[in-house]
Amino acid sequence: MRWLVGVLLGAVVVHFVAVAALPYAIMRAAMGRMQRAATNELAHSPLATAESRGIVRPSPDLAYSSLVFDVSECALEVRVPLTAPYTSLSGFAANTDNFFAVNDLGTSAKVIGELQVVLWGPTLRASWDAVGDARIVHSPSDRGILLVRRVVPSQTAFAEIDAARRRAVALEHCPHSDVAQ
Amino acid sequence: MRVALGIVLSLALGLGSAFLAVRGGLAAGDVRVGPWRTNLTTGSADADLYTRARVAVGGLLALAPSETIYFTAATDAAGEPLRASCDYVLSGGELPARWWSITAYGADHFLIPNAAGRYSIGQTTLLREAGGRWTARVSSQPSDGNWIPSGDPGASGELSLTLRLYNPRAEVARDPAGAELPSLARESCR
Repeated sequence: MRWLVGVLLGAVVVHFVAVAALPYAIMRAAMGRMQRAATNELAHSPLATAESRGIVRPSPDLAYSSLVFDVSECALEVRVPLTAPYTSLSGFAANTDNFFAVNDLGTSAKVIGELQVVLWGPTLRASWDAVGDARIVHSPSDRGILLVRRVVPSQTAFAEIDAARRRAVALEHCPHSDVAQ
Repeated sequence: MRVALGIVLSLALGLGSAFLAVRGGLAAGDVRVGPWRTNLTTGSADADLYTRARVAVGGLLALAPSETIYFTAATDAAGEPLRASCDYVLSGGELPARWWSITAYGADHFLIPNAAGRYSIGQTTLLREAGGRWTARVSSQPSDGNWIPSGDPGASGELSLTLRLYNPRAEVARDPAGAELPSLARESCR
């Protein structure tokens, strides 16, 4: 009887550990597959087709740009030009949570004509003035994925959208040793 | 020997039940609208253990509902699984979002290979009738008008549709069960 109870308790523990660990494992694998550029650099994907195997359930109507981030030592400023009819920039933590999303209807996007955020790591120690007036987004994890989605209204519109998305920039802001602590 | 057997059994039961739970049916917080299903905690920090695991498996990098609501249909209006060997008719009107699309996926969660290279219908490319209503066929056979290929009917054949509502209207986020979504009826099977 004690043996059976032990087996069942063990099964319950294994069950919850497996379900909890799965998102982290899948996210880690996805970051490996998506890392066509260096860490903290944007990569631009072609329109998804049946041959696309990077991420499940891609939308064939969206132009994706992705960035595998690591903000453990430096903040990361990302500036993304807008394209019609829809552009968004979103962040995904190591556990897959979508911790922020901004799009072209936002106030700052309308004012400055682009999406701009500074991603700040949970363990990053630096002074705030290192990044100026940009909107600061706190990532719950040091590593994760940023994703830019752009609606491509027709195949003929893709070339123009592709050219625009390549003007996006990602800049690291690394603290000087005297502002850390 | 008994200890080793116990460990093996615990692993088998724990991993097996985890697999079934992640692959299984409705999760807490799921909302149904006809054949369409969504979960408003998708992508958000409020997602429970199982929702987060399911999204990781079948919808990684999904946006939180404030930005996008994803409805998925794996069955037709009668509750029968969607199959490539059957033809379906989608019909609807304007949907409550800034931009929307409907895309077909195979059982592996990837786009379905087809000679036409078509995978979806979208708000900006859809052919509409007078009054804004529209219909679309989901079929392995080419069709005039709005058509989403469902792939090789001889293959494993199961498919699902995802309706994306980008920047959904506030009333959908408030009451997704009340959303007016496209109907999905089976027409015939081969």
